[in-house]
Amino acid sequence: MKPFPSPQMKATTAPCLECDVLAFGSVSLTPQELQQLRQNFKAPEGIKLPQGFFKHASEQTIAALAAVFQAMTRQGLAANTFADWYVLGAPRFIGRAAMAGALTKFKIEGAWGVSPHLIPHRSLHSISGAISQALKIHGPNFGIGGGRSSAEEGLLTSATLVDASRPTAVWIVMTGWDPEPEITTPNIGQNIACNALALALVPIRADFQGWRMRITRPEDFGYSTEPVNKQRVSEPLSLEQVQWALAPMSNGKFMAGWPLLNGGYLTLEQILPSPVKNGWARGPHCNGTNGTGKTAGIGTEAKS
Amino acid sequence: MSDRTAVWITGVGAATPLGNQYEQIADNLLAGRSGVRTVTAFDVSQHPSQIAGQIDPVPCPSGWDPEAFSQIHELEQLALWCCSQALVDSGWWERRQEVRLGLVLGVGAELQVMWETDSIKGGNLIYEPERYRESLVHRAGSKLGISGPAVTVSAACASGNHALAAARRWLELGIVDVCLAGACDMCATPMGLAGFGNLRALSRRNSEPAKASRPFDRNRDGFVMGEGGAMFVLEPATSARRRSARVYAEVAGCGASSDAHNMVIPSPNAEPAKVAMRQALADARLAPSEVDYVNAHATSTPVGDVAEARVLEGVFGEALPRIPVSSTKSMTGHLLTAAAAVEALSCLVAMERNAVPPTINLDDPDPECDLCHVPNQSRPHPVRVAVSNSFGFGGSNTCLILKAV
Repeated sequence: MKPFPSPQMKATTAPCLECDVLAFGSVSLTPQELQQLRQNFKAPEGIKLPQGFFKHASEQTIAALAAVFQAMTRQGLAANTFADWYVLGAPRFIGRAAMAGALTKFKIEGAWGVSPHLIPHRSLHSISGAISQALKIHGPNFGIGGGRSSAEEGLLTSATLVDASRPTAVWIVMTGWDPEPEITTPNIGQNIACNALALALVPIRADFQGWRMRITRPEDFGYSTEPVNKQRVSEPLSLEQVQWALAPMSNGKFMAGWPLLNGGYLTLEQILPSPVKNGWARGPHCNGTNGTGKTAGIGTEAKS
Repeated sequence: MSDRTAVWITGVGAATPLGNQYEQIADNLLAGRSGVRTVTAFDVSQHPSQIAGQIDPVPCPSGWDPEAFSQIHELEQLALWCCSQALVDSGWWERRQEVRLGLVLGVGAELQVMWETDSIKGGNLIYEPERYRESLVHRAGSKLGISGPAVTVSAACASGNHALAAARRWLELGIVDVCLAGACDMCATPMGLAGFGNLRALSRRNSEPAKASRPFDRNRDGFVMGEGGAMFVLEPATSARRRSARVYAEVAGCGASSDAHNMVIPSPNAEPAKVAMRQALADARLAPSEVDYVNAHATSTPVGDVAEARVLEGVFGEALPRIPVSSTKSMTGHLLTAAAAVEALSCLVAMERNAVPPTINLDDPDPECDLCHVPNQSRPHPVRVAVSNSFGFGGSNTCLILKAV
């Protein structure tokens, strides 16, 4: 990891947090698909989920596991690879529908009507806890974010944890509905999807080929003392924007970047075998359904 | 520290069932007073557990508009109070915009609490998520004028230790110059009390609130919910020295692991929790025998307290009978997400006052928890190294080591 410069030493070299994306999985699941997975989830070889593992789980937890398993399968990673990894879960509005139901039930039935499963399974830490349990990961697990800036908070925090000196690696799994469900009606039949993006982040390696994530300070890599709300970024980075960036591109050359709320700058660059030059592309405008309303990428259309 | 910058705590802000000021909290902790009482904020007649460690109304920080402060949610008031007090205490308040100031806030049920409060008032916030544009950590960050990164972390009851570990990491990496870290929780709500009550995790000793939280006692019957928070200002030792700042302690060691066993049920395998403690000791470069005090997680549940005793036996071995162990949850109740932060504060008190706070209500120690208890009365004891354990739902185990400077 290369640290940001301290204010005493404004760097001339490129200071940033860097890590390689060893594997990623990205899913977008309808309520029907989630219901099927809850009842019949096929885990990769070597993983045995406890009976009824998803019985009380949030839909976002199911999607999170689906994304993690997809990443493992794509990259051929064995379940015992991650024994001491960090697991970070960054959900967006997890448990909202369940909480709405519980509030209604509480008003009718009183205290006895509140399910004891609500808190353990529909809280900010629930996804990371479930992943650590499913994959038998004994490294630290915790939830991060919780609201609209979950993805940004999760990516920043995970980048600070990847540490070549220990070494430490991280599963960061971002989840959320898009658009948010109308919770006054059943999910089934709504035109909505539960998105999940799982990234396996590892220390950078000179011979790595694949996606590399960097977080840098803006412009001159100095430091901003402007309060957060006065900075030019008004919308947090969403998981859907990162999903888009990682989606297979026709020419396989890509770099995307986003300014962060705190004044930093996050880029994802595909490291390719030289001498191919990496290109830039413009990200999609948010479809507005998740309320982000922010342009995803930067730069101009494919320079190369 | 030879290979990295030491990180020191130079400011504290808190609101707990034992008070809203450091000195008051310290006095009450060492006097063995209970902050647990019957819940009166709402009707608890149908709740299995009707008691909690509750805070008084959060004071408006000096210089803030009391009218505007009274309009914001209590959880946000709590976070703002703790953060602003910590900054004032550290001497950074007036100069906070001269530095990259970060914020790591442990809070586990922010949305649930906001949705519930709004619903009780007849609102529809839960049905309109687009209205919840900014999380508490960013709203608080804006109001406090914080320029650096701000994140929310939650590992249930272990959140505060993760927050301190993350802040220390940010300082080591140099992405912030100064960092606020800690945790706040206001989960003693109708739904919170009902949810944990129905989980059969809470004490039902409703007729004796002050005696209900009794970690390590043979007659314990569950934990007592609590509310409150504590925030700390962390900065590199070099910066604190340059400012001649008051220093509470060094954040000397952090360890964390997961049980990977069950979302609710404690693991019968003590090894992951031992790993977290050993990591923290190794991180602090300390031998178990160098520890002067252990603030145990011990929540007063029949299973959990015994499990922690096994962990302590495994980690400290022959040194254990000489190391005082207490659970301040006996006085504050279990502050859930905020527990680790408030217990870190208890460790600072022990170090500053050279006295170990007691486990109150420890009248008949459980023989399965054969530890060097500090029952009912504080014990004068020099404390240079304090260990604070916090374990949470989702199988999170954390250990924080604070060292006198």
